[in-house]
Amino acid sequence: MNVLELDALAVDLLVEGRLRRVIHEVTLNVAESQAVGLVGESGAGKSMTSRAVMRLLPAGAVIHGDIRFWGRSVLAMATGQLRAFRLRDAAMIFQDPRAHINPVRTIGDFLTEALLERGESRHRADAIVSGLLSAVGITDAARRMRQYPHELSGGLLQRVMIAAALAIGPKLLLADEPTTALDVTTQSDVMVNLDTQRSGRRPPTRARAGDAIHHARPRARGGGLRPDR
Amino acid sequence: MTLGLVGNRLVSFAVTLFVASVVIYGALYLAPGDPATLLAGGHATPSVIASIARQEHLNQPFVVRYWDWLAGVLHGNLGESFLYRQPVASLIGGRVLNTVFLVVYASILIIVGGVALGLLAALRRRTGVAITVGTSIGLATPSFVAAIILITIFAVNLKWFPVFGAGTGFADRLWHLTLPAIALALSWLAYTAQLTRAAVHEELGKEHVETAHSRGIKQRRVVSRHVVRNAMIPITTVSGLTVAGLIAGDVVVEQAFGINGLGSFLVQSALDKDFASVQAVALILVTAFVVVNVIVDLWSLVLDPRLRARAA
Amino acid sequence: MSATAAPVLAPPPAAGARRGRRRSTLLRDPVAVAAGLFILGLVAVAVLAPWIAPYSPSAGSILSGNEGISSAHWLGTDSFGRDLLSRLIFGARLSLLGPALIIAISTLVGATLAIAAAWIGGWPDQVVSRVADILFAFPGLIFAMIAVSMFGAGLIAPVIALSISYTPYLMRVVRAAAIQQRALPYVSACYVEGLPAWKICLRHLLPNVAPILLVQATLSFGYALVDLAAISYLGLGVQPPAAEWGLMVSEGQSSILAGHPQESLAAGVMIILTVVAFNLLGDRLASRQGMELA
Repeated sequence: MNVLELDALAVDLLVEGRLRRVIHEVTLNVAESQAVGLVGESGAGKSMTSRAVMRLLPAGAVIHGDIRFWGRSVLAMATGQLRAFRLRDAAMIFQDPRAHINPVRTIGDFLTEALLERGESRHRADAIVSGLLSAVGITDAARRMRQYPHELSGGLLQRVMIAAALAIGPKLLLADEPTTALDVTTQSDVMVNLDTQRSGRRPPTRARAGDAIHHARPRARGGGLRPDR
Repeated sequence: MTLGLVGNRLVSFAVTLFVASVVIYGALYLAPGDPATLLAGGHATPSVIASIARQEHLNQPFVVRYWDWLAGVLHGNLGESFLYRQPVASLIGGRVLNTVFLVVYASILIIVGGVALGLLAALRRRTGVAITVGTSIGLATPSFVAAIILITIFAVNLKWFPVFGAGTGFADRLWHLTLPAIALALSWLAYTAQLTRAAVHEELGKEHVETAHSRGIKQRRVVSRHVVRNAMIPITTVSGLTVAGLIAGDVVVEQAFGINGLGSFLVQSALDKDFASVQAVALILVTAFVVVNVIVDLWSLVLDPRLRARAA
Repeated sequence: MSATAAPVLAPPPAAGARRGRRRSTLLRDPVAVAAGLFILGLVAVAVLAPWIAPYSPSAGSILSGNEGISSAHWLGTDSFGRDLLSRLIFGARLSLLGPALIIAISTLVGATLAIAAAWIGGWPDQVVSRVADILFAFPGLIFAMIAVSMFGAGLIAPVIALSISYTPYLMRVVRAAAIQQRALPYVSACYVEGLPAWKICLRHLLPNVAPILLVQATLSFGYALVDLAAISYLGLGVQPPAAEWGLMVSEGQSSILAGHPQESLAAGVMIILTVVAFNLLGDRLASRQGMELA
């Protein structure tokens, strides 16, 4: 069984009162320990595909086809099941970390939030997170965790984002252009990081970014993603 | 770092207060007619006016007189009302409690009611529309109109609350001052509700909220940890304006409900041209306003760590 | 032979054309139209009062005091037996005139100060801003009360005091817009061309700042109306036997206890409706503004 299956996935978004198709029938499988990259022009629908998997599409969106995680349909999940899916099984790394991390809470708060939600003790959550920060190359974890997002550079924030996503030990990792906001050196650092995580811990990764793509094996089949006109 | 910031705020607070006090004191000299006559309250004989002139050292230069007045105020001497032949301080003593009670009561209603309504309006679509209509009307209702509507319905017809007065003791005051507090709070409650709704609505659309959702955090916790806290920031900055409105509204509400407070005293003194009293009460009210503003300012520094960095 | 002329940037489209386009889209908004019509109707009623009102606002005898709704008196009478409907109609005159004066004065003074401060910059700008900050510390009502204690009750003292008190609000909004405009290249181009500063301000800055000014003025009108009515309610403004809505609320208050709330309620409702209309219109104008700036 595949970790993730997109079966003739099509997505319509509500734009100015009308439905517009932004993803045209994508069929795609991701097997265990596999990394899949989606390549496309800006506007082709890469972000939307990831968001569809996490069911984070904007209000009014209509999804056709199916998305299956280990055989279970993600689209058919009830609220509780969806929450469990997001809490334990899948994680997403967003582009633009500065916008995606709450500016008035500390980094430590951000990192441990999902773990605490799962019922871990504060002590254990802190320990897990400190370990992860070191794993993504952030030294002096204790100090960093007390800091606020505006005190960290974009590159550091992106690594924090990655650490946060890995914290719950996801079986599926979705990364939306995780290195676009970073400079070239940091980019390769981050991608190496992700790769190490993948081969070391075996979560199948789906990495998508134009430059980072050489780390993954592109495997989009079927209808594919057509750039929007 | 933070100390410099706080110091900054305190300095501008002191400056504003200083200038305001000069304006309040100086207004006496801008008025038509000679200051001694004005201080006498317009009901005085020439000999009284002359003795006032001597007593107040009106032959001294303005700066000296202002300084005397200010020094007196800082020592608790708020001047003497020539109308009542008593120090102003003793005239307002008992009234301060009523005013403070009323204003605090109204503030609690505004903050609790306003934020709650605003949150409700932002999170639930259908109730939201009703709340928006209600708050638009509430915003347009002056406190004295709210007062008479409340009196008509709840005091005269339903007889649930007394019509006049402030009562004595805590529980009695609570009962007497409920309708006045609602009248005072109404338009500001509506304003706060609209502001909260807008701020929460905007915050809900932000990316960091999307992140929280993507991690499977319960909606209730997303709202309390990420939405409300962030939305409070713009609301806090508006609180300063609210206070000015509350002070002004308090004057009207006290008159409407026959409450013996600072506000009604101010009105009476203005009508009687009891200038010393007007000066003293105006100064107290403006000081209260500035103090609350400084507190609100410092509170927003607590709420938003980015401001601390930016201002340092 | 003409010397090489520096490329001249065209100033933004003439204010007239922009205004026309905006007006046509505003007319399609039902809320704005309703509010606008209400306001226009109110102004018409105020102007035509002597011809519309069934009775004179001061005519009445105590014998017919506090009557309810009847065919002779559509809204009943007040405690002095005067027809309420007529008093409301005549009351519109003073209730609308006061705020109009306040807004007119504060807009004129505020806009002038703001544009001048934005243009000149430097320390005059700083001084003006500081003064405005301090004025913000004075609630308008307190200012008005100080003025009344100095100059006596009536319409004049409160109107002047409130005008001073409202000026910083208009000034702040205009100054921000003016500074933004001032920084645009076309202004420097006009300056280089040799246009005198005051002409640039008048012909170019002002029309571009006017829309924002209009929004702020509309919204402030409601607040001014409430403030002035409150002052009359307190007895510090319009004096009896004149008809004014705030004054009517206060005059009718003693009758409420006797079971005749009509005077206070009628006047109060008029105030609420008028302020709602101005707020709605101002909001709609503002969102249109936002759309154009976006």
